[in-house]
Amino acid sequence: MGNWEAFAHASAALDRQVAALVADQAAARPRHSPAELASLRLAQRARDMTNEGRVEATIDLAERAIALWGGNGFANLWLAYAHHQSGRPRTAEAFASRAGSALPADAYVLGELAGLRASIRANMSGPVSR
Amino acid sequence: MAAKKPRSTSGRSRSTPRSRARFSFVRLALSLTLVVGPPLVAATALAAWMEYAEIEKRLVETFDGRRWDFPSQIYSDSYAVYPGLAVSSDAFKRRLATLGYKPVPGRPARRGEYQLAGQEMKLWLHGFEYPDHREPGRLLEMRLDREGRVIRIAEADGGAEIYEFLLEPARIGGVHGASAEQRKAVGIDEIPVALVRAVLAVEDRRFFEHSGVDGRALARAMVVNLRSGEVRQGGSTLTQQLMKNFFLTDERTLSRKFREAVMAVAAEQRFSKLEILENYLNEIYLGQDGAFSIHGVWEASQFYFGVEPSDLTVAQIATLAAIIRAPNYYSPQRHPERARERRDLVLGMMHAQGDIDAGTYERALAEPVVAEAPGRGEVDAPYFLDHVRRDLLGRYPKDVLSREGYRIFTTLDPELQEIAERVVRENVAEIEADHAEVVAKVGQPLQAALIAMNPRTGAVVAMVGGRDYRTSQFNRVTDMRRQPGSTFKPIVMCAALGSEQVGAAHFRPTDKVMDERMRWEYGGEVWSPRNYEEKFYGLVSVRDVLEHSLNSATARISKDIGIRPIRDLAVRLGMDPKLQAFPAIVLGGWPVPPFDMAQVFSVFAAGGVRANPLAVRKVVDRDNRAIDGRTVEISRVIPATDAYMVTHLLAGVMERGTGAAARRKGFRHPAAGKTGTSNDYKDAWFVGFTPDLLAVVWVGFDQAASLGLAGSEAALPIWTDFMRQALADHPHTSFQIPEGITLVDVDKETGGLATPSCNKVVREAFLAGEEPHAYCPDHARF
Repeated sequence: MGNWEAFAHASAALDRQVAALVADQAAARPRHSPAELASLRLAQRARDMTNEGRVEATIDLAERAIALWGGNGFANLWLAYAHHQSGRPRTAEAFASRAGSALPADAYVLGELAGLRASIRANMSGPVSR
Repeated sequence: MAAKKPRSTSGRSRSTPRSRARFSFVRLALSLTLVVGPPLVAATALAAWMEYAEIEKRLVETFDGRRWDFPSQIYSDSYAVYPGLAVSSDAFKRRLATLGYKPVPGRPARRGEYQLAGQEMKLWLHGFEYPDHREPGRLLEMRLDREGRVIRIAEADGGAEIYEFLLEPARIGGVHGASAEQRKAVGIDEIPVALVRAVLAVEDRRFFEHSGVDGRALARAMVVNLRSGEVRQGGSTLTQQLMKNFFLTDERTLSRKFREAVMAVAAEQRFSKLEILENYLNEIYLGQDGAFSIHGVWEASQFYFGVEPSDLTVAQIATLAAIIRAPNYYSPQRHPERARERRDLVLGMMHAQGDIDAGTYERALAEPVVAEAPGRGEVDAPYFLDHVRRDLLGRYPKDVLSREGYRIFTTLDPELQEIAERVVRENVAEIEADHAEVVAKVGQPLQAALIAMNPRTGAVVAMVGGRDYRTSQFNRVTDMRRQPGSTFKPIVMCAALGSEQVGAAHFRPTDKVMDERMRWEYGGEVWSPRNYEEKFYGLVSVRDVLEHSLNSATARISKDIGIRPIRDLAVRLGMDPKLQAFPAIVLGGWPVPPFDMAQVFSVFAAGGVRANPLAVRKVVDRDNRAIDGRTVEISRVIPATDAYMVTHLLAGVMERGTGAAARRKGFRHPAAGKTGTSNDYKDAWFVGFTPDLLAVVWVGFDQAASLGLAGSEAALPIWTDFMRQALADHPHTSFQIPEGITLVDVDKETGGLATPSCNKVVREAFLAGEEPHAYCPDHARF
């Protein structure tokens, strides 16, 4: 995989989650930490960088996103993709694994992740960590 | 009568022997001159020409090539500000102060100022060249709620809303060569015209008129010197000063002065006035920052006023121009009155030559001379810097680092570092005072170490390798190996609860273990551990074993698992592979550095993923090209379920166990942690974490001696003070519950499903499918 459009569902899910957290933060008693929203917004910027083909900038932004909130599945997904693009399959697989446990349980999104992992595995010489 | 000397018929006087000799000499001299003179003149001219050519060659080499050594600069990490973050707190204000931001009563007028008024903050960011983008220095407006947390961020004057911005990294140190010069060279176009004109006004008014040497200035200087009877003025042009600084010494001789003049003329022939001016403004010495000399106007602007030259006020411009003559004598920091007197003189010159109008002149005169070296030397991270330098020197030659002007971006958080330094210093002093007799008996100062990491990225955000770097540079975080005591027990529990163990070696948190005297024969030796309180508790749950740090029960669990799987797991989590497999390691009998313990616990905090420790993020050259970029590297080393179960037990340590004192001191964030005390109280440890931040604290003596305090007494207070302050502005974050975990309320005594009649109920984490299904037998009738 090397085609960003392959993550259309994840991208849309990210936008939906941002919208949901914006509403949450506006509520009298927010259920989520504001760091989560900040982290998701960084993931949006990381996605935009990836769309522009700026892999290093993607990594910078997505790393900042997970520094704020490790449960950001999208940031982990973009990191997996960026490291895969950069020829670092083991790191890519580790982020993909983390994304797997943090992304929303949406079959289409998880399907996109599965596609990425298959592509990463194809580039790996050793066993895949679980 | 004496006979007259006969006259020569030829009209020539008759020669005497003496006159003949003189004549011969003159003739010889003339002949020689005629013969030798032209070649001599030619040779002299050639020599002069060669000398001039050599001078010109050196000039060209110097101007076109490397003029200066640029020390590499080491920066902290940047700091993300986003809605939800508290920005009116003292911690945030300290953060701003460290970076040189100044509070102002009104709307900020320039970069580096901020205004906090009611529920609004206006902040004019400094400009900063990040490795991947440039922050031009925007004026931002933040709306705050009543608690001072950011609600909305936007660019000023109706600009676009933004969701996050960065406070720039702080410069925390450098890698210097022997010259120990601090300098950043900038183009003439980056230096305000007003500063250039002020410098010319005081140093070389006729700069654009002379050709390197100013006859008028020399004559004037000569008159002044003759009148005063001492050398008061040199009459050197700015070009001459530059030549002296580049090529010559400070000696006051005519020959040096002559060479300086020749070089100045040569330079003016070869280079434009602007090139010479630019070099001068980057070269001049402008003061001293401890062992480091400040060169160039950019560096001086930062050093004295914490701003770039383009943000200097008129009064600050005049101050910089004023101190060129004698930077230490007129130092605004040490001699503000002298500095002010001379600054006012320069302001007068600027006004007189029409650079500033009367109003500006008056306002500038009224401005106090304030030079507080903002943002410089305030981040005290010597052990971290040593750690970074060691890393860098393993990758780059020293002379490259000290000459090429690399910028090294690290992971350090200046505010957390400041907190870490302070809490270590204060707590250790307090412990020493409370245990003065012990310390006196041991005869050495008590020491401590602290490392803080972001567990998800491995970023080292604070590091204190000892209580005082000036007296001991030994980094106890990275280079010291001490027995970790009970902080090893979570590794045992991970092995016991983890999905990899089966049969008798697999435990659930509610399973019972006998805490009693036990013997473990291993390798021909017998090991029989005792509990901390010298008594045994009988049948206890796995949770109790960890929460109350029971040694004997831990050893029993370990014996069931086997020492080899525990040892292997410890290495997988981040311990040194040299770790030997023998029973006592389960109670922390193998010495480790605090750095390793941070790695191990970060795996629990990060849901089973190990992030390689990261201190250096990026290295860029002077043109901002990436030399080295390091990314967060992670690998899954244990299942997320196993990490969560250990974390869940460790959270209990904070609520009910040996770490509960942290709660009593007011630390409220969801957290997990473990105390550790080595044999005879020689080492006191606490390792604890939230999902966002992990810290390891060690307290003890360098030459292992008993302090008489457990980890909960000596290390936990430091950890608590650090975490409480470090996370004060941050929203609470809960540990993420991974798939495959089932949370069930159980009776703490029986481990059965809790009923309304149960008095002691805990929410327990089980691997899905392992949760109990039967109600608590003691309170089943409800």
